[in-house]
Order: sequence, then C-alpha cells, then structure tokens
Amino acid sequence: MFVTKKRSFTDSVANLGLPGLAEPTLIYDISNRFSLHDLRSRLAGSYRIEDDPPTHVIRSYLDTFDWRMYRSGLVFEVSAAKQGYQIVWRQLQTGDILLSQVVRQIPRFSWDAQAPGIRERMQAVMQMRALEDKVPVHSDVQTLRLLDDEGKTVLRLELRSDRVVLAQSAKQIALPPRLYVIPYRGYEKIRERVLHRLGAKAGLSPVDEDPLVSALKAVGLKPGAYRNRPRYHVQPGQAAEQAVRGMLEELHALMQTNLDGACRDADSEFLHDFRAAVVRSALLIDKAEGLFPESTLRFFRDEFTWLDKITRPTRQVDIYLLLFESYEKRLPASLRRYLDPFREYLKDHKRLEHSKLKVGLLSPRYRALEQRWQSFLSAPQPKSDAAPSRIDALARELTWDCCQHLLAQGGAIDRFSPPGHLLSMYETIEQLGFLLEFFSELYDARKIAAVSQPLNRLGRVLDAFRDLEMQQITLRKFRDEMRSEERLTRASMEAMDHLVADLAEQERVVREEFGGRYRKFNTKKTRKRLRAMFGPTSKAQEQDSK
Amino acid sequence: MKILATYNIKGGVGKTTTATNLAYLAAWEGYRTLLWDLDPQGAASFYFRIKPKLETGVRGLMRKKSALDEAVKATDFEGLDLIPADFSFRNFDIAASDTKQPAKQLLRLLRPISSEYDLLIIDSAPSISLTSENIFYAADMLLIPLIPTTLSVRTYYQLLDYFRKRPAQHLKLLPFFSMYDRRRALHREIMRTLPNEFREILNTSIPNAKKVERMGLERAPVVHFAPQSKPARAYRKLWAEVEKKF
Repeated sequence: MFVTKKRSFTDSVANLGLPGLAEPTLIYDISNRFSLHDLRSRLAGSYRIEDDPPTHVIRSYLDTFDWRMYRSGLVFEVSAAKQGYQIVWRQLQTGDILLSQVVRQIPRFSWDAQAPGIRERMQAVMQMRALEDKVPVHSDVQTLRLLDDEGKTVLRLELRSDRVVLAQSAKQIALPPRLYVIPYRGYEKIRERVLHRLGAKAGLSPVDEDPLVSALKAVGLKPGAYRNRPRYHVQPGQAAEQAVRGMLEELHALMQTNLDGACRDADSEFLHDFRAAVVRSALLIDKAEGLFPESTLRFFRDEFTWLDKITRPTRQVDIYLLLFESYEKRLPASLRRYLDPFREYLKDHKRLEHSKLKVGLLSPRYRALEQRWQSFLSAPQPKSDAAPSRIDALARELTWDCCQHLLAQGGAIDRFSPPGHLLSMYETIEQLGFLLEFFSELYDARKIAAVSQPLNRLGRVLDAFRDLEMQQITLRKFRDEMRSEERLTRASMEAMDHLVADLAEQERVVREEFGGRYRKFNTKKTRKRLRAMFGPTSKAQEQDSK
Repeated sequence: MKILATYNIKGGVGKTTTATNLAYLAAWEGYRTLLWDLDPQGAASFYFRIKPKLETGVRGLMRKKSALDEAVKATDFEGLDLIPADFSFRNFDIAASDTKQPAKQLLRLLRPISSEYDLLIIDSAPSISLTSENIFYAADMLLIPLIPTTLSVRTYYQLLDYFRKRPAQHLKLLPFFSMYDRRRALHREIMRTLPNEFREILNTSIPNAKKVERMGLERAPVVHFAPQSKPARAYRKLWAEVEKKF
C-alpha cells in the first residue's frame, strides 16, 4: 500500500522538525472504464455527495539540480490554484504530507518562501540550491466531495487521468488512471468506511509508489545520478598517463554538466562545482609534468589559470551573499539594518561580475580551449621522452612530497608567524586533500582513513583560519570600494568595521588553537603512517609490487 | 508557534469575525494555522461548518495528553485547522482550578501540538476569569476589538487596570477599532481622540458592514466569499499590520 496509517518519518525529515500536518492521500489503480458514475454509485445512499466541475491541472515536480528533495526522501509538488499555486510537500515513501499550502509565487530558492515556517524547512533540505521543474504532468481531474450534514467537506475523491508532456518534443506519455482519496484531519472514521468500500467491496488495489516515481519511470529519468565529486577509476599498476587522462576526463564531464547552469546563474552551486573541477584539473595538469609534452601542458596550464581567474570574482561575491545572513547575526540588532547597503552592493556586483563571467565562458577563447581539451582527452597523445611511469609511483611521489612540505611548514610556524605562513600551509593541506581524493582507490580504505582523520582535523583549523582571514581582507576591500563608489554611510561603515572586528576576534581564537592541533597531528605515529603509505619504497619492495 | 488571541471583556465587539478572518488570511499567507474556538457559543466553529463538540469534554482534555491533538479538525481551507468549541468550555475555570498551576493549563495543553503550527489564534469568550488568565499567560499578542462607544472603550480601561495590577510583560496589547460607523458622530469623535491617549491602537479599523453579517449565511470568512468587499479589504490590512508585529 502506498501509505501507512501511522505517521512515520525518516531521520532526515524528523530532524527538519516536520510533523505530518495533513493525513496522507491514498491512491488506487483503476481501469480506464472506471468512471465518476461508478464511484458515485459505490458511495450513494450513505453520503451526501457533491461534484466539482472537471478541471485540467498542470502538476510540476520540483527538485534541485542534484535532487536534494528526492535524496532526502521528499516530493515537492506544485500545481496552479485559484489564487496562486498549491504546494504539496510530502514524503516519498509514506505519502505523509508535511506541508500543503497555497502560495502566491512558486519559491525558487528557500529564501523566496513567504512564511517563515516553510523557509526554514526548505533551507534545511535545499541549502543554497534552486528548485527546477523536473517532470510536468498534465492532469484531467474529476472531483467528488463527501459532505456531512453541516455541509462541510469531510473527504475528497479525485479521478485523475495523467500524462507526462516532454518539453523538448511535446511528446505525451499517458500514465495509468488513478483514484486519489484525500482525507481530512479529524474525519478518520469516514475515511476508513470509504476505504473499506473501495478496497474490500469494489476490489480496487492501492498503489505503492508516489506519482512522482510513476512519472519518472514513464520518461526514464533516474534521480540522484549527479555527483559533485567524480569517482576516479584509478587502478594499481595503471600507466600514469592513462590514469591522469581518465581523471581529467571525469573532471571535464563535471565542468560540462555545470557550464550551462553557471552561465544562466541558475544557482550558486553550478559555478561552485564548475570551479571545483577547474581547480582540480589545474592541479593535475601541474603535476603531470613528464607525462605529456611540455608545450601541451603549458597551453592548458595557462588556459586553466585563465579559467580560474575569470570564474573567481563571481564565486567570491556568491560566497558573501550566502554569508550575509550569518553576518547579520554577528551584529547587535541595532546595527543590522546598516548592512543593507552592503547587500545591495553585493547584488549589484554579482550582476556585473556574472555578466563578465558569461562573456568569458561564451567566448571564442573558451570554445577553443574546450575543443583542444576534448581532443587531448580523447586522442592518444605523443609520449614525452621520459620513461613511462605507473600511477602508484606517481601518486606516492606527489603525496609524499606534499606531506613533507606540510610537515616542514608546520614545524616552522610558531605563535609569532605571520598569517601568510598559515595560509600557505592551508594551500598545501588543500592540495594534499585533492591528491588523496584522486588516488584514494589505490590505497586500502582503512589505512587511508587512519591518515585522513588527523589530516582532516588539522585541515579544519587551517580552513577556519584561512576563511576568517580572507573574509576580513575581502570585507575591507568591499568597504573601501563602497566608500569610493559613495554608497557607504557612516553607520554602514561602523557596521562593517564591527563585523571585521568580530571576525578578527574569532580568528585570534582559531590561531591559538592551531599550535595544539598541529602538535596532535605531528606525532610519531602519524609520521610513521604517512611514511609507510606514501614514503619512498626500497628497490626490493618496488620489484615485489611489479 | 506564535499565539494570538482575540479578546475583550465585552461581547459582540467582533472578536469571532476577527479571529476567523485573520486565521483564514494567515493560512492563505502560508502560515500553518490553528484556530481554537474557546467560546462555548461556538460561533467560529459554526462559520467553518464544524460541529461544536469535543468528545472528551473539557475534563477529558485536561486528563488525556493526546486529547487536543485528537480534537483538531481540518477546515475546508488549505493550511487551516480548528479546535471546535464545546459547551463544556464554560467549565474550563473549574477544571483548571483543580490543577497545580491553574493559570498555565492552556499552555500545557498546547505543548504537544505546538510544533505542527506556525500560528495559533484563540477566539476567547467575553469575560475576565481564570480562562482569560490562561489566555494571557499563553498568548504573545492580544488583539482587542473596540467599538468606538463609551461602554466599549471603558472595558479597555478596565483591562489596562487589570494588567497594572497583574503585569504580563510578554503580552503585546493590540487594540483596534471594530464595527465603526462613519455616519455616527460619537464613533468619529472617539476614533479621532482615543489614539492620542493610547499609541498602541492599530491604524486599521474594521467597518460595520452587512457583508460581515452574511458570514452566518455563507458559513465562511468574509475574506473568502467577498474578497473585494470593504470589510475584507480592512481585514487584509489588519492582518498585514498584525503580521508586522510578530
């Protein structure tokens, strides 16, 4: 059966604080011949029944690009209603309705939702991602309402003939006709009696899948296939050149997937994921010295540096727009409204920077890069003069170099070291993280977890330090730009300075934490583990592994 | 969950019409709204075509933890539920006085369902009693309809006097003029002068209108069946003003 009578919630939803507000809709499979007349005759005599005029409804199932609703076990359904749009937010498995409301505008982002209740719950699922239309279903609906002797509706029955209309081809795929029983809270006895008549007496069978699932099956859409971190299929013993090319191919696919959304600015995560692929590709190109001809590498190195450069300003403004709410919370209530000019400044700059970014991503230079990159990845390249190497050896060499560099940097940092030293160390640990991500399939999962854990702990403190340091630098830069553009009042300047001071104070605490965290990382045990995993092997060991 | 109660010591001042229309508007705005018809006369329940009957009665409500949850009925309007009135609510004072914390019983009863709703609107009975004390303790805001007449205004003085003796710091008092008639000189006079004395009086006033009387025939809020009418426009304005106070 599609729904259970008892409300049950998945952990993720329970954590959202989403109680089942309305009773779940029950769905029955019916044949094409089953009509409103049949339904009426099944219920006649016992209930006062009223017909609503037949309607045509377009029902859209919305989700984020990466299916965050679906992956959280939720369905977000929207249809046009008399005075706006009807939103039904329910659980995929049980059909429990978490929210059923009419809104004036369909919220694209969580912050577009009018009522605070919806906003917070959407935010918990979608974070910064936008909703997009995944599958539109056209529906012809015939409705019967059961009334009590006060004339109050106590149950609604809808016969729906649905079809999915494909946007590209306008092709229509009919879905099986179904009967929807929509109960009303507080009238459970009537619901039970009607269900008994439909099930035991009329022999209708309940459907055990959500209408979204039926629609997705009909069009062959598989939700949740997107990953913002590729799976690198690297095998021990594989030629380094082949393995690196494979990893770059995965990253290229990620860039292509996110390019359109980044150009449209559908939401900030398209550019985030696009840049994640760019930065990782740039690192791999940098580390691929000797595997490919130097002239080819130089070209791609320059072009990926250019890509990093043209995508960075928009991402930077995105970050500050996303941080804005947290900035407001950092300030005393009396100062919060003075941050409004900063928000406006960020929005204006977002428009400006994004238009520049779009020009870059649609430019002949990007097209040329794309073309050359594709042929580089797909065609075998002439090998360099250097001897062929295996990916295992390259991975160990790169990772060990990085580990040694990290330990040297950490050892040289004391309480008087300038912030730049910690920022450099952050870059090293970030690079080390990327290398472990690229080559994780080469190592034993338990062993990699044992070295990753202390690294992550150290990484978190360095990440926090870098974050706080960069925020102060950038906020000061924004503040000065606003002043030169004459859009900064004295009160707004005070608010921004207050913010910078608050971040500086937090940075001081994190800075103090660093020493202890590094000492915990730099133990004999960790160093031994790092050496055992990535350190240089003896000739005999190398022979064995060959 | 925010709690808003319509309240006045005096009856017939527009408490129920205000509660029902604001509850409808709040649900329409996307608030998960619950309306509790605490007036034994059951007019709010009647407007939503829901029988004023509570199976457990007020005593059962006090004893059984899930009783309030079980009492909730969906209205015909999306996002708006109602706890119907019951004639036994007239005995709420007696039932509450038998407990350890008589003035906190209403809030205690609401706790199990408070996460299900963003807003609770209580339509209270015209009196000053232990039930009212419970409402004052539980509510965040008290919406007080005042007919611009001497007697009605006098009840506001009485209420202020009550709160001077028993302060309720958390409670925001939101008086507003209700059922006014511009043709009457006294109404005009009071509406001109009283806001100078009480700054808290809301800017929106609700006119006395035949359309509001039709609520009994239509059995629905005026904002639903006559959305363009003068009172419906006034209620929308009132809701916007109240919402800002949250």
